Amino acid sequence: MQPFPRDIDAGAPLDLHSERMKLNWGPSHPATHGTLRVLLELEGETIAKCDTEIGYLHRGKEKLAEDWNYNQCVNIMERMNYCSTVINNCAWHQACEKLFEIEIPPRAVYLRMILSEISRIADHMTAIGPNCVDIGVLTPFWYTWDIREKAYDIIEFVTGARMMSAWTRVGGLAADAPEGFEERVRQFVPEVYREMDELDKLLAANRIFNDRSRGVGTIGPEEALSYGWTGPCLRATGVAHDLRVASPYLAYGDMQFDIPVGEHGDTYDRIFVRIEECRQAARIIEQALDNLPGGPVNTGKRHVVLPSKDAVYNQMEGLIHHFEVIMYGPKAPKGNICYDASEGGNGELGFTIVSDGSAKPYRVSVRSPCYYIFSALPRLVTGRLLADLPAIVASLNIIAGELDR
Amino acid sequence: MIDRARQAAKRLSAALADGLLEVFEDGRGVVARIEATALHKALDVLRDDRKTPFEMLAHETAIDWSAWPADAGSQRPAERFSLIYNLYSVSTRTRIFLEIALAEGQAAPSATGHYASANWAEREIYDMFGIKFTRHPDLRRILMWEGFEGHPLRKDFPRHGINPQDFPQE
Amino acid sequence: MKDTLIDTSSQVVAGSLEEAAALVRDMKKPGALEKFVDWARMHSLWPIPFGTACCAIEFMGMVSSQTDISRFGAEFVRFSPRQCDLMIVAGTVVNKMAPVLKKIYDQMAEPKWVISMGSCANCGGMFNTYSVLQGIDRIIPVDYYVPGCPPRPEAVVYAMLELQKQIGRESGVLSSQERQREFWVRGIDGHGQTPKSRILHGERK
Repeated sequence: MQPFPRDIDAGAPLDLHSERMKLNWGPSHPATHGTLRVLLELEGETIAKCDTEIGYLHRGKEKLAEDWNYNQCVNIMERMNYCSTVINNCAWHQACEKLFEIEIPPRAVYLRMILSEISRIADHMTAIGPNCVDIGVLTPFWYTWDIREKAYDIIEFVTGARMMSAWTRVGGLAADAPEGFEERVRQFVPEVYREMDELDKLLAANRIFNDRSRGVGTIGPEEALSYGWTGPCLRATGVAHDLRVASPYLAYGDMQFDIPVGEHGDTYDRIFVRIEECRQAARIIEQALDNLPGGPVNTGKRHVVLPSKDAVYNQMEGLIHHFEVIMYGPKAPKGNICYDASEGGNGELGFTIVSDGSAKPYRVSVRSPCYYIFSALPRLVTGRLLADLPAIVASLNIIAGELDR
Repeated sequence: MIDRARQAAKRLSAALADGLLEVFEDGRGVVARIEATALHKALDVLRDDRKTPFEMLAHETAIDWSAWPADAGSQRPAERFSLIYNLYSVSTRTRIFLEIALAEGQAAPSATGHYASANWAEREIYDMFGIKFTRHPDLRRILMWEGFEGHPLRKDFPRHGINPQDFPQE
Repeated sequence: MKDTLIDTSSQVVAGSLEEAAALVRDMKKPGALEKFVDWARMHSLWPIPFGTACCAIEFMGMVSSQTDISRFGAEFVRFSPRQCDLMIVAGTVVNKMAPVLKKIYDQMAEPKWVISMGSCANCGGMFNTYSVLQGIDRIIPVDYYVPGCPPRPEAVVYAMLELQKQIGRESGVLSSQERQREFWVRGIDGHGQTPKSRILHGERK
């Protein structure tokens, strides 16, 4: 046997030919939360380069919205962030009401706000549960799903469906909340507080969870703003920006609540900002229930809202209005363009709607929060270990329906 | 907030002079229609504005006016496309819009040098409308696959698609 | 094989060891081995959730404590197609995702079954657009369709129970090709149409 030609103990290390490993992560993968594809180049366990590919759930919603009337479009829009569908309902119809230049009655405002906050709690729980599963701690998943089921029970009680409620209409709501609504929500609120305390106990001091989430996927505030980040991910970097406070809509201006803000912008902060936001959402729900006004849930504007059955059966105009609203849908003023943004579960959910005077929008452009958050993924994961990738992706709460539309 | 936006628009028009075509208000808020060539200067001015620094390009989108009915108002420009930039100042809670008119086949200047969020927004506009952006670092399709023919959000593209059994070839 | 889950007359729970013992006792009878194999298969359907959209959230609801499909034998939700025999396609499959779905389906080992969950997987749902596959049965054979947008978790459990009954009636080792004979024999034509969609939509040139 020949001796090894070089003295390996002295001098420079051996120059072995190696190349980076190319790994394809997704689009069918347990931790991709639907349909994301991440193409990685690995040096050992370290991610040297990362590219993402999306569009695996692109359903052509903006194109479809040009063919459906404003009340039908809510079905499309609610399937964007499908974890917090009521927020999408309210955001879409709020933009429509801005386009139509109409106001909705106070009871509708408060009901929309209460159910939006319940839906926000459900969304944050959907973010945290699978995030913990991806980090490896399975128990919080069952706990967060328990709260989700309770939230679904209330949403089903009020709107008729667990998830895809399609509850709002231009000018208000499809129907008022039934009797017993207030008791059920009042029973739900202490459960939220209790559950958030349980999650704190499970996660906050857990050594492994801390090691896997503190300092993982850190981003600073200026960079986050440049990427267009909004919502809990931006608040985790330290920027106290919340559209419910910055440009109050519905009745948020009358509510007392805090904006939880993180320090480091890492995965740990993103998860705990969401947990704290659920507590604040519960606070909003309590205050809104205390001040819930009575009255109608639809504006009386003709040609926009279905008239009352009394008018439909007894007056000719009522019958005609009913026919027009059902057959054609409410028609927006000609030439109006509007932009309206709400605080969705992930941040600024905005709609740019262009109206040509018909019952169908001419153009709907959706400003989806997840789209901009996900665009920063290469920046977050490059240089980190492969095991951090699922933790980071999950902490961003990427909902593919909102990402791809 | 709208006052701050109006003042920012005044400062913008002072800085741009000819580049600014008009400033008006509609359902979006304050909108400044500018020349395509003035975009970089406008973004510089707005991003570095001392009173209302616009740190975030919240959204960039396009409208295809080719199917606009003749009697529906004078919103549309003479050119086929409008690019709308939605700028937001987080520190002062102010929003302002910039609008550029683009003809068919005209390339737009890219905002990626100013805001990182323009990267994906412009990729989507290219994918959906076919509008190209000069000096974009990575202009390729994002929602549809490479090799897909057509630009779906154009008004002449049918909703059902041209070939419904079109799959990406790997 | 009994059609009801819990036959109160004999007090034997479906999928339990008592049932297995009863089958093993009758093993000498003709057809008993096939029955035993069917019994084992139907009570251990491990799903692979091909979850893309909103239905995947209801699928997660199905897996969690309130509606627990592990009661019915679907204990392990594994995401590797090699380890599963039931594919639940939950959510819209768009044309970009369709080759991925076909690949994952092909990677599953026989015998395999498919439940199409939700309107989008059944027929494209409300999304009759340029990018959405109008029904996964255009590219893979489906055993049960669950309508809904999204279907309640209980609805998918019902589909799974019906599928279990069907497996119980199969008596023998049937690969998916044999079960879906019409689908595979006639094949997919150049336009990507399955026999079912040919009947529904007519010939497409």
